[in-house]
Amino acid sequence: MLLEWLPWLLQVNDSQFPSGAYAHSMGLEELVQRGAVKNPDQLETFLQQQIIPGLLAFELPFLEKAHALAASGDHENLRLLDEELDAWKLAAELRQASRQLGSRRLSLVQKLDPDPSLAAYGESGAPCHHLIACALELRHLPVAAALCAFSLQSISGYAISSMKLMRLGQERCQLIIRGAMISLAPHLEGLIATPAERIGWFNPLLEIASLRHARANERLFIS
Amino acid sequence: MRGHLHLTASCYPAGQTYLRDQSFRAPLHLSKPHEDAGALVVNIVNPTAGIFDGDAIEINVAAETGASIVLTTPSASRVYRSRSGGPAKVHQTFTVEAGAFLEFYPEPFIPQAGARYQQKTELRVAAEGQLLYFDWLSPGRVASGEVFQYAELLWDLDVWMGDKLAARERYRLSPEDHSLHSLRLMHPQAHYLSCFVLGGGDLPVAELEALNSPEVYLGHGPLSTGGFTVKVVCHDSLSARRTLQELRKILYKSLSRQVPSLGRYM
Repeated sequence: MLLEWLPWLLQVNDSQFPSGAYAHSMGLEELVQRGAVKNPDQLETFLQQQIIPGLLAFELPFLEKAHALAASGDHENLRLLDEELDAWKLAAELRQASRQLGSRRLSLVQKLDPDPSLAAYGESGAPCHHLIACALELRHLPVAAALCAFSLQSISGYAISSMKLMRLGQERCQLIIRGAMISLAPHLEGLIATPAERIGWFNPLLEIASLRHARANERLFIS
Repeated sequence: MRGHLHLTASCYPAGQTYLRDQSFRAPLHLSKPHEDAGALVVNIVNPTAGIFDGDAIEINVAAETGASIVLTTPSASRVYRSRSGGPAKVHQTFTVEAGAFLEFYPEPFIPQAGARYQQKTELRVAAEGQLLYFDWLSPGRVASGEVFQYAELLWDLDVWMGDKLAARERYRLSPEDHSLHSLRLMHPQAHYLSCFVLGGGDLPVAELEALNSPEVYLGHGPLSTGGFTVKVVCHDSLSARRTLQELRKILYKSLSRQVPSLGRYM
């Protein structure tokens, strides 16, 4: 039997969904220019050793909390999480990128899912970070599906932007995304069963790269 | 040991800063403060060998309106191998009222092999207050071959501008997982510097950018509520010290303040 939320998930998680993510490398462009990530092998290592642990230690536990609030319609506390994300994202470019992606995504989702509560949140002046927008758009889905969808968006965002930054073909790109998702997926159930008491992740290189990217002389990406 | 340091810096009508209230208990001690460049320079001394598992230290420093205080340490802070399997804990809060200035400039933090340590830092700055906060995290006793061999560091920091959360960091660093990968990618013995500047004007971008070199990877930018952060990964302790010295001068200039001497060779 077809899961009733599956068509929605496929549509909003499609790479063609116009969220504007294609314009962001989330700091990777500067790391490639700096020579910290030079080729597909190093991209794979970057995803496995920096991005996936970061997702598991920070974004996904945060999304789990946001998803629970979105599912229960508790927009007051959801907004507090949204504002807290401003403080977590020290690099202004990453902060702005997250807000832009989230606002754009939420704006389109409101048109596809005319729920007045979504419109009210969008118009409330909340930062609308990408993670919060995902929690809202996927609020009717099981949390595991939401975590998986957000992970795929994050990982494929880095991998697809890499095709413009290094010699990387589409097939290898998809293999890298597949490898990353295979590594990450087994951890999701544990994350849901035992919510993390402490969240956060240390990635000074990506943070500095994002801080520096704003003043780069040559840029393909907004962030 | 359960130690503490509680200080309140206040200001005489003539503009001179003094310690209106002070209380400390081992393993912390204060050296005699001195005044320089309009600020009261206070050295926080740990006369023991360092910090051991089971130690719990609480630091509360407040700068009241008109006060200018610089807190520093005369030597590196060492955390030793945990014998019990438990951590040492430091909880530090720095509060700056409107019209006050506070700088925290410690020497490097050196977590030795097997060390377990938890640090919680709260920075609370009122509108019109100014704060310069530095952290220097070393990889360990490099000369003894100990590089990132500590067991676990939990590093928490919250920055409040008035009642708004301006920055939040939560790190768990351990050689047992990937948490040190990013830090070690460019420099296997990397030193990490972190700085928050609150209550000043814009940062001098060109001067900060000039600190970058093959040994120094530095980024800086505005926080969401005003104020700035500067993050640096350095090749080694020498490049870290040079960078920190220059950074301090640049940031003082941006705050239109003279740089107080720390009373030691830097």
